[in-house]
Amino acid sequence: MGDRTTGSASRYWQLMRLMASGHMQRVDRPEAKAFFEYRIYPAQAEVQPSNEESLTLSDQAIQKQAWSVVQDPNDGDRTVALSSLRCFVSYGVVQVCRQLVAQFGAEHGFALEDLLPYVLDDHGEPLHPDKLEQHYLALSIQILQSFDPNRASLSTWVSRRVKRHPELNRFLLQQGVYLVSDWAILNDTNSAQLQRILTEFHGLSQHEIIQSLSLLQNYHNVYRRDRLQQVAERQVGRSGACLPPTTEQLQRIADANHSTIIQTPEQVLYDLRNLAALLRQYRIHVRGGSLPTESLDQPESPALSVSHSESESESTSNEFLTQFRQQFVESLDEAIAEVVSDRLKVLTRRKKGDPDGFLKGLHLFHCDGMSMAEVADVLELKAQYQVTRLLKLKDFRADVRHGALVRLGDRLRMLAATFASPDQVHQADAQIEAALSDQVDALMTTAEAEASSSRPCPMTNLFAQRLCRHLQTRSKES
Amino acid sequence: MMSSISSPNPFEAFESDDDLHWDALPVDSVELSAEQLTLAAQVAQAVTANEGDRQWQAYLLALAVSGFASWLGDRAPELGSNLSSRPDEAFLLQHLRSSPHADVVTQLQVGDFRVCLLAMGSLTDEVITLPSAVLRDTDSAAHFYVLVDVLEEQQQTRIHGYFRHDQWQQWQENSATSQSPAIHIDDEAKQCTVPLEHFTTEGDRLLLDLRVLSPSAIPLSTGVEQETASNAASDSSPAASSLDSLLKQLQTVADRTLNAASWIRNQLDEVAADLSWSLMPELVPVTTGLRSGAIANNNFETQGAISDVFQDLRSSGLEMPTSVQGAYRDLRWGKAAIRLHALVWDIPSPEPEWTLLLVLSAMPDHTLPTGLTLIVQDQDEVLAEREVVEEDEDGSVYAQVIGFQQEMFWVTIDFGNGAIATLPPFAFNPQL
Repeated sequence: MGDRTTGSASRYWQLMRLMASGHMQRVDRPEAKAFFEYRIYPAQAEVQPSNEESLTLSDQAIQKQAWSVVQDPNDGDRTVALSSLRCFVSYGVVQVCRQLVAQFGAEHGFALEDLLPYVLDDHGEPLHPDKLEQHYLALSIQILQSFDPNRASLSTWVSRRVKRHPELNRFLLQQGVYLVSDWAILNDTNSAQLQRILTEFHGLSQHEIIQSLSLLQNYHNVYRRDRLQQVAERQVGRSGACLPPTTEQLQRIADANHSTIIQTPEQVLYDLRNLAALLRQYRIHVRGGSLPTESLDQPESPALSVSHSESESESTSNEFLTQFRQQFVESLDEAIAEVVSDRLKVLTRRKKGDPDGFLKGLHLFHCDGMSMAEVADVLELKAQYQVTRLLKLKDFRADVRHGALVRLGDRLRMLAATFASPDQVHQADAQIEAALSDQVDALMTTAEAEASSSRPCPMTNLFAQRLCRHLQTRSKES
Repeated sequence: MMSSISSPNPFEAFESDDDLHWDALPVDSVELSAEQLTLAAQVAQAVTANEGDRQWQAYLLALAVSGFASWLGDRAPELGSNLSSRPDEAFLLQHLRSSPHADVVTQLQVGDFRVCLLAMGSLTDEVITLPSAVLRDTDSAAHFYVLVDVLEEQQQTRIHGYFRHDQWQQWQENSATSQSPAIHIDDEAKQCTVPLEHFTTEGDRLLLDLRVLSPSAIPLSTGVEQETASNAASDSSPAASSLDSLLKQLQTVADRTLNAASWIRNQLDEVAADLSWSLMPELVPVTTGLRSGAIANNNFETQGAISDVFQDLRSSGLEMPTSVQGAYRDLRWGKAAIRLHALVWDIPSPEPEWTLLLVLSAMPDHTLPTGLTLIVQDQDEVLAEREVVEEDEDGSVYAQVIGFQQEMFWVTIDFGNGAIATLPPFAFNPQL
């Protein structure tokens, strides 16, 4: 990424450490600071002596220098140089976690303290670079061991390694956030897709495309086949994550390559990662346009505009209207009863299902007017996301609507066969939604919907009214 | 010596954008169990023993079948299907084997419909390829083509979207003239590609179609069958016209009006009752000028607010009747908790008129949020618009309009934060 001004040189002598209390602390490493002052700083100052007052140190230059000290078997400062780089890595680890919390934490219910235990495990004991194998390796050491300054900057490398950390990924998946691995993407891409994407999206040369196709084919024959075999024999880890290919697998992939150039496993790994990166860019491009952006706890409602024309209601027979409205409410009540009971059945037979929590959550949200976050508190769920998954209000409401429509059709002696046109059916569905939501469903801009957890009072619409009635009857009966 | 190096945030220098894009798992994803994965892998190996390339696709398809079956079992147990909510080995083997085409699973039956399943892995492609036979041959064609997202690594599936056979036929007819990305048919490879954007990405809509439509609404061939079906769908058929009338009725439920005239008889009209309006006790705006005596029924919580308004109106010279009826309802949005009173009285004259007085105050223990706006309009224009300013927080704002009896008024409350509540129109119809 070219030269950068150091954000703060203290990152090279302060270790971000997770204390036994669970809190993070910045711990000074005097030996790393001394190393920085007598080795790094003078060397860097020498390179650009002209303007000492505003000396800018590039991370790249610092890391390169420190790294060369670590690598030099004859250098007496190897341990402290490593120490200094470990400090830098610890900052990077924390930074990646902070980004995740900023992006998803609020909605998916996790904080920095939840993430750090997985990845911030360097306690700072001095370690000699030649004797690492004798110790439990903290993630920061693993990161530095696999670091190649010629391929990526250290901060990029830290970011990639942390984001791909299996245990961290597992935790985040439970919170409803996931990162697809390179290996999953490569598994799920076939030759025709790869050819099209490299040609049309990336504009690669014919030669590059042929090479890539052959690499993918060889990867499939080795990794994908092994994966399928492992799943069939139940040898995949709990998390289900696709782990990086082993050296042995990489060797088999390299051996399958009939070209004259002999590739090392490392080279194959590097090429595969590059190929995955190309597919990832395409994936982001495709998903960028079509991702649902609905808010999590707001049941979707089509915004029907009120027609300001002369009301036709006067011309319709009032008697029929009354009758029809009664039919409508009855259909609605039946649909609510059925959908609630179906949901309870599903939750009862599911291992992690919580039928009582479901009923309680429905009541708190619709009848007591609590927000999803408040419901989470009462149900002792950690995150609003978990409540959202438990209640699935949007699904619930759609099922009730459909049930009401089907019943209404029956009641009005219009059998299902009369619903001949898909467009009309969807129109009817939208109108039922409008009737349920009493037109007080608010129209919100996306930005405001995300920023605010507020919502209209659930007590006021027909849907909530009938649902609460049903829930009350149910609790009286039981 | 280090003082020359400074930065407020030591974290800034770390790169953030490295193409590793995290995704939020959609709420309606269906989790697969380890058993389902194992079964799918075994079945895929069994049906594609000598075809390494096809194995993975068969595996993803088997997972898609399991995921679709669970979803259907959870959401719509009332729909009959040849899929149990947990398809067993025999079922998967049979369907993956009998499917003449590697990319899809056909012969799934849901209700009276035939469903064809497609699987999309974690790549997410912008086009979906399917064998053209499953679209063109009447025997293998399906009513619905359902695309299932399969996240094998995360053990999750989700209904990505679907299209109906009648839509496909429509696209084909339009493809010559349409500007949008077209479906592409490769006769040599016997494949057809459909742009991802052609899929309706709402699982709920698929359910609605499955629950409500009749198979005749989705003709599978271009022959006689279709003609019959399109007749059934045409406007002149009795079925269509009865559906039409259902739609009209639904529209009146959605668009119903509040009849304020019934409030004068101390009755809450049915619409108002459904919509959580409560009748207020009869108010007597006596003309003594004493605020405390302005309202006869002093039990009413918000009498202060109303009484202020009466005072105001009277001093502006408005003639007040001896008794006023009305109703109120509460509205909440986030921290805002407001009470809207609607008061009515008629104005006897050769051409009868009526007055609608809307008073907005806070619910007990709340304040009226600054920036909130009360808007009243008739069918042509905005008649009154009143925004809450700081001084109003503990009081009320009101708007008053007068119209002939056949006129209606629409009331909107703009919460000022992007939320807008539109109430059903107010009408005044003494005959109803």
